[in-house]
Amino acid sequence: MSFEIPVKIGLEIHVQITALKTKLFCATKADYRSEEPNTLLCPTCLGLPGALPKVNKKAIEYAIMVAKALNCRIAPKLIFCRKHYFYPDMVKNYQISQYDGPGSTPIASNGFVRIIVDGKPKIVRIRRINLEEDPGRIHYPTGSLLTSKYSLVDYNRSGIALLEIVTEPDIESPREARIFLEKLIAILEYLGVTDTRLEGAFRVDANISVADQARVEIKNIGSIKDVERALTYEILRQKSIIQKGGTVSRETRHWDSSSKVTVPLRIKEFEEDYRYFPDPDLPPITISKEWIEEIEKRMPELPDARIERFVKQYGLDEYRAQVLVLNKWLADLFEEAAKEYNNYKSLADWLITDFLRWVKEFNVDPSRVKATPKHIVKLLKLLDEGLISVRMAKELMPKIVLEGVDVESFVKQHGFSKLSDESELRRVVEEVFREYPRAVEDARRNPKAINFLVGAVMKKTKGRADPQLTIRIIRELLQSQQ
Amino acid sequence: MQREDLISYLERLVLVRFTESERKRIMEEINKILDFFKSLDEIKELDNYEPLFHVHDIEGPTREDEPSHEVELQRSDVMLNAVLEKGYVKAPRTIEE
Ligand SMILES: [Zn+2]
Repeated sequence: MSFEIPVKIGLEIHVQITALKTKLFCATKADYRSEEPNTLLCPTCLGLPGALPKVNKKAIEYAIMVAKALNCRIAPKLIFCRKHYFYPDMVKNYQISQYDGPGSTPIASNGFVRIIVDGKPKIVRIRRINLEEDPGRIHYPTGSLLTSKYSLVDYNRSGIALLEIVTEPDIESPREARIFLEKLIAILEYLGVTDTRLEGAFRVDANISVADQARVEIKNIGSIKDVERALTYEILRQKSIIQKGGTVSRETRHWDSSSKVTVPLRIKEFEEDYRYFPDPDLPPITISKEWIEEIEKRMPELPDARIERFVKQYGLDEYRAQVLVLNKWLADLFEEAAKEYNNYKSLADWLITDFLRWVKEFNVDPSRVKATPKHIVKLLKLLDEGLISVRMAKELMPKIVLEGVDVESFVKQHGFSKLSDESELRRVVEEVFREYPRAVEDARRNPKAINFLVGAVMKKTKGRADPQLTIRIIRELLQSQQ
Repeated sequence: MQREDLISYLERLVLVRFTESERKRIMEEINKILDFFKSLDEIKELDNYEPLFHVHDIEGPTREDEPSHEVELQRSDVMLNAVLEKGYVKAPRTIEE
Protein backbone atom coordinates (compact mmCIF):
# COMPACT_ATOMS: atom_id res chain seq x y z
CA MET A 1 0.00 0.00 0.00
CA SER A 2 1.32 3.39 -0.90
CA PHE A 3 1.59 5.88 1.94
CA GLU A 4 2.12 8.95 -0.23
CA ILE A 5 -1.58 9.33 -0.93
CA PRO A 6 -2.81 11.79 1.68
CA VAL A 7 -5.84 10.82 3.74
CA LYS A 8 -7.89 13.40 5.63
CA ILE A 9 -10.43 12.31 8.18
CA GLY A 10 -12.79 14.41 10.26
CA LEU A 11 -15.12 12.90 12.84
CA GLU A 12 -18.52 13.91 14.10
CA ILE A 13 -19.21 12.18 17.39
CA HIS A 14 -22.62 12.01 19.01
CA VAL A 15 -22.51 11.33 22.72
CA GLN A 16 -25.56 11.00 24.92
CA ILE A 17 -25.19 12.62 28.35
CA THR A 18 -26.23 9.41 30.09
CA ALA A 19 -25.45 10.83 33.52
CA LEU A 20 -28.68 12.86 33.42
CA LYS A 21 -31.90 11.72 35.05
CA THR A 22 -34.16 13.65 32.69
CA LYS A 23 -34.28 14.67 29.05
CA LEU A 24 -32.78 17.93 27.75
CA PHE A 25 -35.93 20.05 27.52
CA CYS A 26 -38.47 18.27 29.75
CA ALA A 27 -38.69 16.46 33.08
CA THR A 28 -39.36 13.10 31.40
CA LYS A 29 -37.18 10.25 32.68
CA ALA A 30 -34.08 9.79 30.53
CA ASP A 31 -33.15 6.17 31.26
CA TYR A 32 -35.03 4.61 28.33
CA ARG A 33 -33.02 1.48 27.69
CA SER A 34 -35.04 -0.97 29.72
CA GLU A 35 -38.42 0.58 29.02
CA GLU A 36 -41.25 -0.47 26.71
CA PRO A 37 -41.31 1.61 23.50
CA ASN A 38 -43.13 4.94 23.57
CA THR A 39 -43.68 5.04 27.32
CA LEU A 40 -41.34 7.89 28.31
CA LEU A 41 -43.13 10.74 26.63
CA CYS A 42 -44.61 14.12 27.39
CA PRO A 43 -46.07 16.94 25.32
CA THR A 44 -42.66 18.62 25.08
CA CYS A 45 -40.60 15.71 23.84
CA LEU A 46 -43.42 14.86 21.44
CA GLY A 47 -43.51 18.43 20.20
CA LEU A 48 -47.23 18.85 20.81
CA PRO A 49 -48.61 22.34 20.13
CA GLY A 50 -48.41 24.62 23.16
CA ALA A 51 -45.76 22.60 24.98
CA LEU A 52 -42.75 24.65 26.05
CA PRO A 53 -39.19 23.35 26.37
CA LYS A 54 -37.21 24.24 29.51
CA VAL A 55 -33.49 23.53 29.60
CA ASN A 56 -31.96 21.00 32.01
CA LYS A 57 -29.32 23.00 33.91
CA LYS A 58 -27.17 19.91 34.57
CA ALA A 59 -27.00 19.26 30.82
CA ILE A 60 -25.50 22.71 30.28
CA GLU A 61 -23.00 22.08 33.07
CA TYR A 62 -21.91 18.76 31.59
CA ALA A 63 -21.53 20.42 28.19
CA ILE A 64 -19.35 23.11 29.76
CA MET A 65 -17.23 20.44 31.49
CA VAL A 66 -16.67 18.63 28.20
CA ALA A 67 -15.87 21.93 26.48
CA LYS A 68 -13.29 22.74 29.16
CA ALA A 69 -11.78 19.26 29.04
CA LEU A 70 -11.43 19.56 25.24
CA ASN A 71 -9.76 22.97 25.63
CA CYS A 72 -12.57 24.81 23.86
CA ARG A 73 -13.65 28.42 23.90
CA ILE A 74 -17.06 28.65 25.55
CA ALA A 75 -19.74 30.92 24.13
CA PRO A 76 -20.98 33.69 26.44
CA LYS A 77 -24.57 32.81 25.58
CA LEU A 78 -26.27 29.47 25.01
CA ILE A 79 -28.42 29.80 21.91
CA PHE A 80 -30.66 27.04 20.62
CA CYS A 81 -31.75 26.88 16.98
CA ARG A 82 -34.31 24.84 15.14
CA LYS A 83 -32.93 22.52 12.50
CA HIS A 84 -35.72 21.52 10.16
CA TYR A 85 -36.06 18.24 8.37
CA PHE A 86 -38.75 15.70 7.66
CA TYR A 87 -37.93 12.28 8.95
CA PRO A 88 -39.99 9.88 11.06
CA ASP A 89 -37.55 10.01 14.00
CA MET A 90 -38.43 13.66 14.59
CA VAL A 91 -42.00 14.42 15.62
CA LYS A 92 -41.77 18.22 15.54
CA ASN A 93 -40.17 18.22 12.07
CA TYR A 94 -37.32 20.14 13.63
CA GLN A 95 -34.58 19.23 16.03
CA ILE A 96 -33.61 21.69 18.73
CA SER A 97 -29.91 22.03 18.11
CA GLN A 98 -27.29 24.73 17.78
CA TYR A 99 -26.04 26.50 14.71
CA ASP A 100 -22.53 27.50 13.80
CA GLY A 101 -23.21 30.27 11.31
CA PRO A 102 -24.28 33.87 10.83
CA GLY A 103 -26.03 35.19 13.93
CA SER A 104 -25.60 32.07 16.00
CA THR A 105 -22.94 30.07 17.77
CA PRO A 106 -22.49 26.62 19.33
CA ILE A 107 -21.83 26.27 23.06
CA ALA A 108 -18.13 25.66 22.44
CA SER A 109 -15.58 25.88 19.65
CA ASN A 110 -11.85 25.94 18.81
CA GLY A 111 -10.61 23.20 21.10
CA PHE A 112 -8.10 20.39 20.78
CA VAL A 113 -7.25 16.92 22.04
CA ARG A 114 -3.70 15.67 22.51
CA ILE A 115 -2.95 12.16 21.31
CA ILE A 116 0.20 10.09 20.97
CA VAL A 117 0.76 8.25 17.68
CA ASP A 118 3.80 5.96 17.45
CA GLY A 119 5.38 7.74 20.38
CA LYS A 120 4.90 11.17 18.82
CA PRO A 121 2.51 13.78 20.20
CA LYS A 122 -0.18 15.09 17.89
CA ILE A 123 -3.02 17.59 18.16
CA VAL A 124 -6.49 16.92 16.80
CA ARG A 125 -8.43 20.17 16.67
CA ILE A 126 -12.05 20.31 17.82
CA ARG A 127 -14.11 22.56 15.56
CA ARG A 128 -17.18 22.79 17.77
CA ILE A 129 -19.45 21.16 20.32
CA ASN A 130 -23.25 21.36 20.04
CA LEU A 131 -25.76 20.66 22.75
CA GLU A 132 -28.87 19.20 21.13
CA GLU A 133 -31.71 16.73 21.52
CA ASP A 134 -31.55 13.15 20.32
CA PRO A 135 -34.23 12.10 17.82
CA GLY A 136 -36.38 9.00 18.28
CA ARG A 137 -35.02 5.58 17.53
CA ILE A 138 -35.95 3.84 14.30
CA HIS A 139 -36.19 0.05 14.01
CA TYR A 140 -36.34 -1.83 10.75
CA PRO A 141 -38.68 -4.77 11.30
CA THR A 142 -38.25 -6.40 7.91
CA GLY A 143 -34.52 -6.22 7.36
CA SER A 144 -32.11 -3.29 7.57
CA LEU A 145 -32.29 0.41 6.80
CA LEU A 146 -31.67 -0.53 3.17
CA THR A 147 -34.15 -3.36 2.76
CA SER A 148 -36.94 -2.75 5.23
CA LYS A 149 -40.38 -2.04 3.74
CA TYR A 150 -41.34 0.29 6.57
CA SER A 151 -39.94 1.53 9.85
CA LEU A 152 -40.98 1.44 13.48
CA VAL A 153 -40.25 4.35 15.76
CA ASP A 154 -39.70 4.52 19.50
CA TYR A 155 -39.83 8.12 20.72
CA ASN A 156 -38.49 7.34 24.20
CA ARG A 157 -35.09 8.50 22.98
CA SER A 158 -36.52 11.69 21.57
CA GLY A 159 -35.28 14.65 23.62
CA ILE A 160 -32.36 12.90 25.32
CA ALA A 161 -29.45 15.33 25.80
CA LEU A 162 -26.80 14.83 23.16
CA LEU A 163 -23.40 16.38 22.56
CA GLU A 164 -22.20 16.63 18.99
CA ILE A 165 -18.43 16.91 18.93
CA VAL A 166 -16.92 17.80 15.56
CA THR A 167 -13.21 17.61 14.76
CA GLU A 168 -11.23 19.34 12.06
CA PRO A 169 -9.99 16.96 9.33
CA ASP A 170 -6.71 16.46 11.19
CA ILE A 171 -6.79 12.67 11.40
CA GLU A 172 -4.63 10.86 8.86
CA SER A 173 -5.36 7.16 9.25
CA PRO A 174 -7.97 4.76 10.62
CA ARG A 175 -5.61 3.89 13.46
CA GLU A 176 -5.21 7.55 14.38
CA ALA A 177 -9.01 7.81 14.43
CA ARG A 178 -9.10 4.94 16.92
CA ILE A 179 -6.40 6.48 19.12
CA PHE A 180 -8.27 9.81 19.10
CA LEU A 181 -11.60 8.20 19.97
CA GLU A 182 -10.06 6.15 22.79
CA LYS A 183 -8.69 9.36 24.27
CA LEU A 184 -11.99 11.20 23.83
CA ILE A 185 -13.97 8.38 25.44
CA ALA A 186 -11.53 8.27 28.34
CA ILE A 187 -11.99 12.01 28.90
CA LEU A 188 -15.79 11.64 28.84
CA GLU A 189 -15.57 8.70 31.23
CA TYR A 190 -13.37 10.61 33.68
CA LEU A 191 -15.86 13.47 33.62
CA GLY A 192 -18.66 10.99 34.33
CA VAL A 193 -20.69 12.48 31.49
CA THR A 194 -21.51 9.32 29.65
CA ASP A 195 -21.30 5.58 29.79
CA THR A 196 -20.24 4.90 26.22
CA ARG A 197 -20.75 1.15 26.66
CA LEU A 198 -24.51 1.67 26.65
CA GLU A 199 -26.08 0.82 23.30
CA GLY A 200 -26.47 3.94 21.17
CA ALA A 201 -24.76 6.26 23.66
CA PHE A 202 -21.86 6.78 21.28
CA ARG A 203 -22.30 7.17 17.51
CA VAL A 204 -19.86 8.40 14.92
CA ASP A 205 -20.14 9.89 11.45
CA ALA A 206 -16.85 10.15 9.56
CA ASN A 207 -15.79 12.43 6.71
CA ILE A 208 -12.97 11.13 4.61
CA SER A 209 -11.15 12.35 1.53
CA VAL A 210 -8.32 10.52 -0.17
CA ALA A 211 -5.78 12.28 -2.40
CA ASP A 212 -7.66 15.58 -2.00
CA GLN A 213 -10.61 14.18 -3.90
CA ALA A 214 -14.25 14.66 -2.97
CA ARG A 215 -15.27 14.21 0.64
CA VAL A 216 -17.32 11.16 1.46
CA GLU A 217 -19.42 10.99 4.59
CA ILE A 218 -19.95 7.66 6.36
CA LYS A 219 -22.93 7.61 8.67
CA ASN A 220 -24.03 5.42 11.52
CA ILE A 221 -20.90 3.87 13.02
CA GLY A 222 -21.52 2.50 16.49
CA SER A 223 -18.14 1.56 17.94
CA ILE A 224 -14.47 2.46 17.80
CA LYS A 225 -13.65 -0.86 16.16
CA ASP A 226 -16.21 -0.20 13.45
CA VAL A 227 -14.87 3.33 12.88
CA GLU A 228 -11.48 1.81 12.15
CA ARG A 229 -13.01 -0.86 9.90
CA ALA A 230 -15.30 1.54 8.01
CA LEU A 231 -12.46 3.99 7.36
CA THR A 232 -10.11 1.23 6.24
CA TYR A 233 -12.77 -0.07 3.85
CA GLU A 234 -13.48 3.41 2.53
CA ILE A 235 -9.79 4.23 1.93
CA LEU A 236 -9.36 1.02 -0.06
CA ARG A 237 -12.53 1.71 -2.05
CA GLN A 238 -11.51 5.28 -2.87
CA LYS A 239 -7.91 4.34 -3.67
CA SER A 240 -9.00 1.67 -6.10
CA ILE A 241 -11.26 4.20 -7.87
CA ILE A 242 -8.34 6.63 -8.12
CA GLN A 243 -5.91 3.95 -9.29
CA LYS A 244 -8.28 3.02 -12.10
CA GLY A 245 -8.24 6.67 -13.19
CA GLY A 246 -11.68 7.47 -11.83
CA THR A 247 -12.79 10.26 -9.55
CA VAL A 248 -14.43 9.86 -6.17
CA SER A 249 -17.86 11.45 -6.07
CA ARG A 250 -19.12 13.41 -3.12
CA GLU A 251 -21.73 11.31 -1.36
CA THR A 252 -23.09 9.99 1.88
CA ARG A 253 -22.57 6.32 2.60
CA HIS A 254 -23.96 4.07 5.26
CA TRP A 255 -21.81 1.69 7.32
CA ASP A 256 -23.38 -1.74 7.29
CA SER A 257 -21.93 -3.31 10.42
CA SER A 258 -23.09 -6.83 9.56
CA SER A 259 -21.53 -7.06 6.09
CA LYS A 260 -18.66 -4.70 7.00
CA VAL A 261 -18.94 -2.49 3.93
CA THR A 262 -20.09 1.05 3.22
CA VAL A 263 -23.01 1.46 0.83
CA PRO A 264 -24.27 4.59 -0.92
CA LEU A 265 -27.29 6.10 0.70
CA ARG A 266 -29.82 8.67 -0.30
CA ILE A 267 -32.13 9.65 2.47
CA LYS A 268 -35.39 11.32 1.57
CA GLU A 269 -35.36 15.10 2.07
CA PHE A 270 -32.28 14.88 4.15
CA GLU A 271 -29.50 16.83 2.57
CA GLU A 272 -31.60 19.94 2.10
CA ASP A 273 -31.50 23.36 3.56
CA TYR A 274 -32.19 22.93 7.27
CA ARG A 275 -33.63 26.46 7.57
CA TYR A 276 -31.95 27.14 10.89
CA PHE A 277 -33.30 29.93 13.04
CA PRO A 278 -33.13 30.73 16.76
CA ASP A 279 -35.83 28.82 18.63
CA PRO A 280 -38.36 31.42 19.79
CA ASP A 281 -39.36 29.09 22.65
CA LEU A 282 -35.88 29.24 24.14
CA PRO A 283 -34.48 32.64 25.10
CA PRO A 284 -30.66 32.69 25.30
CA ILE A 285 -29.04 31.62 28.57
CA THR A 286 -26.03 33.54 29.85
CA ILE A 287 -22.94 31.47 30.56
CA SER A 288 -21.07 33.66 33.02
CA LYS A 289 -17.38 33.41 33.88
CA GLU A 290 -18.36 32.72 37.49
CA TRP A 291 -20.52 29.77 36.45
CA ILE A 292 -17.71 28.31 34.34
CA GLU A 293 -15.21 28.73 37.20
CA GLU A 294 -17.59 27.10 39.65
CA ILE A 295 -18.01 24.12 37.28
CA GLU A 296 -14.25 23.87 36.73
CA LYS A 297 -13.77 23.50 40.47
CA ARG A 298 -15.99 20.43 40.44
CA MET A 299 -14.11 18.79 37.56
CA PRO A 300 -12.14 15.63 38.39
CA GLU A 301 -8.54 14.94 37.41
CA LEU A 302 -8.43 14.38 33.63
CA PRO A 303 -6.41 11.80 31.68
CA ASP A 304 -3.57 14.14 30.61
CA ALA A 305 -3.01 15.32 34.17
CA ARG A 306 -3.20 11.76 35.51
CA ILE A 307 -0.69 10.47 32.94
CA GLU A 308 1.69 13.23 33.99
CA ARG A 309 1.17 12.35 37.66
CA PHE A 310 1.74 8.62 37.01
CA VAL A 311 5.06 9.44 35.36
CA LYS A 312 6.14 11.62 38.31
CA GLN A 313 4.66 9.73 41.24
CA TYR A 314 5.31 6.13 40.15
CA GLY A 315 8.27 6.64 37.82
CA LEU A 316 6.44 4.99 34.92
CA ASP A 317 7.30 5.83 31.34
CA GLU A 318 4.70 7.72 29.33
CA TYR A 319 3.59 4.68 27.35
CA ARG A 320 2.74 2.58 30.41
CA ALA A 321 1.17 5.55 32.14
CA GLN A 322 -1.04 6.15 29.14
CA VAL A 323 -2.23 2.55 28.74
CA LEU A 324 -3.22 2.50 32.40
CA VAL A 325 -4.86 5.91 32.49
CA LEU A 326 -6.89 5.48 29.30
CA ASN A 327 -8.47 2.42 30.93
CA LYS A 328 -9.78 4.28 33.97
CA TRP A 329 -10.79 1.17 35.94
CA LEU A 330 -7.31 -0.29 35.38
CA ALA A 331 -5.62 2.92 36.51
CA ASP A 332 -7.83 2.92 39.63
CA LEU A 333 -6.87 -0.70 40.31
CA PHE A 334 -3.20 0.18 39.81
CA GLU A 335 -3.35 3.02 42.31
CA GLU A 336 -5.10 0.89 44.93
CA ALA A 337 -2.54 -1.91 44.52
CA ALA A 338 0.35 0.58 44.52
CA LYS A 339 -0.53 1.46 48.12
CA GLU A 340 0.62 -1.98 49.18
CA TYR A 341 3.19 -2.85 46.56
CA ASN A 342 5.99 -0.55 45.56
CA ASN A 343 7.58 -2.21 42.55
CA TYR A 344 5.38 0.03 40.40
CA LYS A 345 6.94 -0.89 37.08
CA SER A 346 6.42 -4.60 37.65
CA LEU A 347 2.85 -3.94 38.82
CA ALA A 348 2.15 -1.84 35.72
CA ASP A 349 3.62 -4.51 33.44
CA TRP A 350 1.54 -7.32 34.93
CA LEU A 351 -1.61 -5.24 34.67
CA ILE A 352 -0.97 -4.01 31.13
CA THR A 353 0.15 -7.30 29.66
CA ASP A 354 -1.32 -10.38 31.38
CA PHE A 355 -4.19 -8.86 33.30
CA LEU A 356 -5.55 -6.63 30.53
CA ARG A 357 -5.00 -9.42 28.02
CA TRP A 358 -7.28 -11.80 29.91
CA VAL A 359 -9.91 -9.17 30.47
CA LYS A 360 -9.99 -8.59 26.72
CA GLU A 361 -9.69 -12.29 25.87
CA PHE A 362 -12.70 -13.19 27.99
CA ASN A 363 -14.44 -9.98 26.98
CA VAL A 364 -15.16 -9.24 30.63
CA ASP A 365 -16.92 -6.00 31.38
CA PRO A 366 -14.36 -4.09 33.50
CA SER A 367 -17.04 -3.47 36.13
CA ARG A 368 -17.45 -7.24 36.46
CA VAL A 369 -13.78 -8.07 36.89
CA LYS A 370 -13.59 -10.13 40.08
CA ALA A 371 -9.97 -9.36 40.85
CA THR A 372 -9.32 -6.83 43.58
CA PRO A 373 -6.08 -4.90 44.07
CA LYS A 374 -5.33 -7.28 46.99
CA HIS A 375 -5.41 -10.31 44.68
CA ILE A 376 -2.85 -8.75 42.37
CA VAL A 377 -0.60 -7.67 45.23
CA LYS A 378 -0.67 -11.17 46.76
CA LEU A 379 0.26 -12.73 43.43
CA LEU A 380 3.18 -10.38 42.89
CA LYS A 381 4.42 -10.86 46.47
CA LEU A 382 4.37 -14.66 46.13
CA LEU A 383 6.31 -14.22 42.92
CA ASP A 384 8.86 -11.89 44.53
CA GLU A 385 9.35 -14.29 47.42
CA GLY A 386 10.12 -17.07 44.93
CA LEU A 387 7.19 -19.18 46.10
CA ILE A 388 5.70 -19.34 42.62
CA SER A 389 7.32 -19.08 39.20
CA VAL A 390 6.58 -16.52 36.49
CA ARG A 391 4.89 -19.24 34.52
CA MET A 392 2.64 -20.11 37.45
CA ALA A 393 1.78 -16.47 37.94
CA LYS A 394 0.78 -16.30 34.30
CA GLU A 395 -1.36 -19.40 34.71
CA LEU A 396 -3.05 -18.01 37.80
CA MET A 397 -3.89 -14.70 36.18
CA PRO A 398 -7.04 -15.81 34.28
CA LYS A 399 -8.35 -17.44 37.49
CA ILE A 400 -7.85 -14.15 39.30
CA VAL A 401 -9.51 -12.13 36.56
CA LEU A 402 -12.50 -14.41 36.06
CA GLU A 403 -13.12 -15.93 39.47
CA GLY A 404 -11.37 -13.55 41.82
CA VAL A 405 -9.43 -16.54 43.16
CA ASP A 406 -7.41 -15.86 46.30
CA VAL A 407 -3.92 -16.78 45.22
CA GLU A 408 -2.56 -17.65 48.65
CA SER A 409 -5.18 -20.21 49.58
CA PHE A 410 -5.33 -21.54 46.01
CA VAL A 411 -1.61 -22.22 46.03
CA LYS A 412 -1.88 -23.96 49.41
CA GLN A 413 -4.87 -26.03 48.36
CA HIS A 414 -3.63 -27.20 45.00
CA GLY A 415 0.03 -27.59 45.78
CA PHE A 416 0.53 -25.03 43.11
CA SER A 417 3.71 -23.75 44.68
CA LYS A 418 7.08 -23.75 43.04
CA LEU A 419 9.06 -26.97 43.27
CA SER A 420 12.26 -25.83 44.93
CA ASP A 421 12.97 -28.83 47.09
CA GLU A 422 16.37 -29.93 45.78
CA SER A 423 16.13 -33.65 46.41
CA GLU A 424 12.67 -33.89 44.89
CA LEU A 425 13.74 -31.92 41.85
CA ARG A 426 16.88 -34.04 41.50
CA ARG A 427 14.68 -37.17 41.30
CA VAL A 428 12.71 -35.62 38.42
CA VAL A 429 15.89 -34.60 36.59
CA GLU A 430 17.28 -38.13 36.90
CA GLU A 431 14.05 -39.50 35.50
CA VAL A 432 14.33 -37.14 32.51
CA PHE A 433 17.96 -38.21 32.01
CA ARG A 434 16.86 -41.86 31.83
CA GLU A 435 14.05 -41.11 29.39
CA TYR A 436 16.08 -38.97 26.97
CA PRO A 437 19.62 -40.42 26.78
CA ARG A 438 20.19 -38.90 23.36
CA ALA A 439 19.29 -35.42 24.59
CA VAL A 440 21.72 -35.92 27.46
CA GLU A 441 24.47 -36.76 24.96
CA ASP A 442 23.59 -33.67 22.95
CA ALA A 443 23.70 -31.48 26.03
CA ARG A 444 27.17 -32.76 26.91
CA ARG A 445 28.50 -31.73 23.50
CA ASN A 446 26.49 -28.57 23.08
CA PRO A 447 25.65 -26.48 26.19
CA LYS A 448 22.72 -24.86 24.36
CA ALA A 449 20.97 -28.20 24.01
CA ILE A 450 20.35 -28.15 27.75
CA ASN A 451 17.11 -26.28 27.04
CA PHE A 452 15.43 -29.47 25.87
CA LEU A 453 16.11 -31.13 29.22
CA VAL A 454 14.90 -28.08 31.16
CA GLY A 455 11.72 -28.15 29.06
CA ALA A 456 11.20 -31.85 29.80
CA VAL A 457 11.53 -31.20 33.54
CA MET A 458 9.05 -28.34 33.33
CA LYS A 459 6.61 -30.57 31.50
CA LYS A 460 6.88 -33.32 34.08
CA THR A 461 6.35 -30.86 36.93
CA LYS A 462 3.61 -28.94 35.13
CA GLY A 463 5.74 -25.82 35.24
CA ARG A 464 6.31 -25.93 38.96
CA ALA A 465 10.06 -26.52 38.82
CA ASP A 466 12.23 -23.59 39.82
CA PRO A 467 14.07 -22.88 36.55
CA GLN A 468 17.36 -21.70 38.09
CA LEU A 469 17.59 -24.72 40.38
CA THR A 470 16.64 -27.08 37.54
CA ILE A 471 19.47 -25.75 35.36
CA ARG A 472 21.97 -26.06 38.20
CA ILE A 473 21.00 -29.69 38.93
CA ILE A 474 21.10 -30.62 35.23
CA ARG A 475 24.59 -29.11 34.88
CA GLU A 476 25.82 -30.93 37.97
CA LEU A 477 24.45 -34.24 36.76
CA LEU A 478 25.91 -33.75 33.27
CA GLN A 479 29.35 -33.21 34.80
CA SER A 480 29.19 -35.98 37.40
CA GLN A 481 28.08 -38.57 34.86
CA GLN A 482 30.92 -37.77 32.46
CA MET B 1 -31.56 32.33 -7.19
CA GLN B 2 -34.31 33.42 -9.61
CA ARG B 3 -37.57 34.11 -7.83
CA GLU B 4 -39.42 31.52 -9.94
CA ASP B 5 -36.85 28.89 -8.90
CA LEU B 6 -37.25 29.99 -5.32
CA ILE B 7 -40.89 28.95 -5.33
CA SER B 8 -40.09 25.43 -6.52
CA TYR B 9 -37.24 25.27 -4.03
CA LEU B 10 -39.60 26.17 -1.21
CA GLU B 11 -42.17 23.67 -2.47
CA ARG B 12 -39.55 20.97 -2.21
CA LEU B 13 -38.38 22.07 1.22
CA VAL B 14 -41.79 22.07 2.84
CA LEU B 15 -43.09 19.10 0.85
CA VAL B 16 -46.08 20.81 -0.79
CA ARG B 17 -47.15 21.25 -4.40
CA PHE B 18 -48.83 24.47 -5.56
CA THR B 19 -51.37 24.78 -8.36
CA GLU B 20 -50.68 27.42 -11.03
CA SER B 21 -53.02 29.95 -9.41
CA GLU B 22 -51.48 29.29 -5.99
CA ARG B 23 -48.05 29.77 -7.47
CA LYS B 24 -49.06 33.17 -8.78
CA ARG B 25 -50.53 34.27 -5.47
CA ILE B 26 -47.53 33.01 -3.47
CA MET B 27 -45.13 34.65 -5.91
CA GLU B 28 -46.77 38.00 -5.26
CA GLU B 29 -46.59 37.53 -1.48
CA ILE B 30 -43.02 36.34 -1.54
CA ASN B 31 -42.06 39.34 -3.66
CA LYS B 32 -43.57 41.68 -1.10
CA ILE B 33 -41.72 39.95 1.72
CA LEU B 34 -38.41 39.96 -0.08
CA ASP B 35 -38.73 43.61 -1.04
CA PHE B 36 -39.51 44.48 2.55
CA PHE B 37 -36.43 42.61 3.75
CA LYS B 38 -34.32 44.41 1.17
CA SER B 39 -34.40 47.43 3.42
CA LEU B 40 -31.93 45.51 5.63
CA ASP B 41 -29.33 45.94 2.90
CA GLU B 42 -29.32 49.67 3.61
CA ILE B 43 -27.98 49.23 7.13
CA LYS B 44 -24.29 50.06 7.25
CA GLU B 45 -21.63 48.63 9.57
CA LEU B 46 -23.66 45.68 10.75
CA ASP B 47 -20.79 44.59 12.99
CA ASN B 48 -21.66 47.39 15.36
CA TYR B 49 -24.93 45.75 16.29
CA GLU B 50 -25.47 42.87 18.68
CA PRO B 51 -27.46 40.15 16.93
CA LEU B 52 -30.98 39.72 18.27
CA PHE B 53 -31.67 36.13 19.23
CA HIS B 54 -34.98 36.64 20.88
CA VAL B 55 -37.63 39.35 20.63
CA HIS B 56 -37.85 39.65 24.40
CA ASP B 57 -34.71 40.59 26.21
CA ILE B 58 -35.14 37.93 28.89
CA GLU B 59 -32.88 35.29 30.35
CA GLY B 60 -33.85 31.72 29.41
CA PRO B 61 -35.10 29.76 32.41
CA THR B 62 -33.49 26.46 33.40
CA ARG B 63 -34.69 23.59 35.55
CA GLU B 64 -33.09 21.05 37.89
CA ASP B 65 -32.45 17.53 36.63
CA GLU B 66 -35.33 15.94 38.54
CA PRO B 67 -37.85 13.64 36.86
CA SER B 68 -41.49 14.54 37.17
CA HIS B 69 -44.11 11.88 36.70
CA GLU B 70 -46.74 14.50 36.08
CA VAL B 71 -45.32 15.18 32.66
CA GLU B 72 -45.81 11.63 31.46
CA LEU B 73 -48.88 11.25 29.35
CA GLN B 74 -51.26 8.39 29.20
CA ARG B 75 -49.77 6.31 26.46
CA SER B 76 -53.12 5.68 24.88
CA ASP B 77 -53.78 9.42 24.54
CA VAL B 78 -50.47 10.09 22.89
CA MET B 79 -50.77 7.23 20.50
CA LEU B 80 -54.35 7.87 19.41
CA ASN B 81 -53.32 9.18 16.04
CA ALA B 82 -50.54 6.70 15.39
CA VAL B 83 -50.50 3.32 13.72
CA LEU B 84 -48.89 1.03 16.26
CA GLU B 85 -47.04 -2.24 15.93
CA LYS B 86 -45.84 -3.84 19.17
CA GLY B 87 -45.88 -0.44 20.84
CA TYR B 88 -43.82 1.17 18.10
CA VAL B 89 -45.14 3.87 15.79
CA LYS B 90 -45.32 2.62 12.24
CA ALA B 91 -43.70 4.94 9.69
CA PRO B 92 -42.84 4.79 6.00
CA ARG B 93 -39.56 3.53 4.67
CA THR B 94 -36.86 6.13 5.02
CA ILE B 95 -34.66 5.86 1.96
CA GLU B 96 -35.09 6.08 -1.78
CA GLU B 97 -33.78 3.52 -4.21
ZN1 LIG C 1 -40.78 14.84 27.71
